[in-house]
Amino acid sequence: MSVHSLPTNALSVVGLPMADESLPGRTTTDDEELLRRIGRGEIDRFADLISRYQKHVIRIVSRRVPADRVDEIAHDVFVRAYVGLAQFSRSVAFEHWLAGIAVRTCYDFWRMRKGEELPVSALTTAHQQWMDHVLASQSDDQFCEQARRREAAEVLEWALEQLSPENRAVLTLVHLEGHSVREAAHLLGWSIINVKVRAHRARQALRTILINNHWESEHDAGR
Amino acid sequence: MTPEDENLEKLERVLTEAHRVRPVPILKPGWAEQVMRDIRNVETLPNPQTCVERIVWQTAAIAAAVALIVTVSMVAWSQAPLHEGMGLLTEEFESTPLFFE
Repeated sequence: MSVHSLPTNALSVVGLPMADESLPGRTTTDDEELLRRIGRGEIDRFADLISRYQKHVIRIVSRRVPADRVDEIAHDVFVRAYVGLAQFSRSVAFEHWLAGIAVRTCYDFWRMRKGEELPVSALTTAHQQWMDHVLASQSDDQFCEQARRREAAEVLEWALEQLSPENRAVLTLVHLEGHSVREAAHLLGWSIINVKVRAHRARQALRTILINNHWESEHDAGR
Repeated sequence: MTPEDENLEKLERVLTEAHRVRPVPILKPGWAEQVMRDIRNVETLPNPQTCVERIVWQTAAIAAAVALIVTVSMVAWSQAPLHEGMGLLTEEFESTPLFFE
């Protein structure tokens, strides 16, 4: 029995990521038909796949790369998908395969950036104050309000910038997005053991970054 | 759990929430058309893998042909002295008695 013939709730049982809620309601037979036609040389049918999945890809990419690079990276994702279409085994749903390409393209983006050795941005007093507000917040509403502030995204980016591309990729999938280790391994094309070890190390690294910053800010306040 | 651990957990939770609520940007108009233009270009460009394969096969075919020519010429060259040697040996046997009578 192929994955395509499984009911939707059975996908979670076999450990595959569930379909994104943003995807329009349709069956995977539509994808099959489109892929068959593209395979027969009807390249223009790929535009249908782009319009069907661009929201899905943009959502993945925009959570991983700077906002001004989202267009470019999402573009690369679809070109890579087209080039690798012959390797799509159809053992998983097309959106999962595409999500894997998106995650790996973003990972490659950070690997390339690592070579450029860009300076890590520093936190300002506003960011430190935001952290103090977070720690002081008592209710869920206050907490959510803090998470929506610009400083929240900037502190997150500041912390992620200090991680290696591997740790960043795993931390984003496992800790920030709540994917299982198996799902993360599937999306990154890595072994489960590798992802498990990386996930642990990445979280430790993030905690160390946050602790060091806390000490530094307390030290600065004490002077 | 120490107060420091609690603070760390709080910060982790708020950063997770910040990641979740990150706004999704709107793409430039004509973005999908640009992607399709590049895909059509990819289709018309020669595939580098195919080029490499063609070079490998051409080189292999030339190498095989050269090897065949060398082998044939070596055999042809080595056969002439062999016949000659065999002829001389036969003459030797014919002219010399095998056993002393």
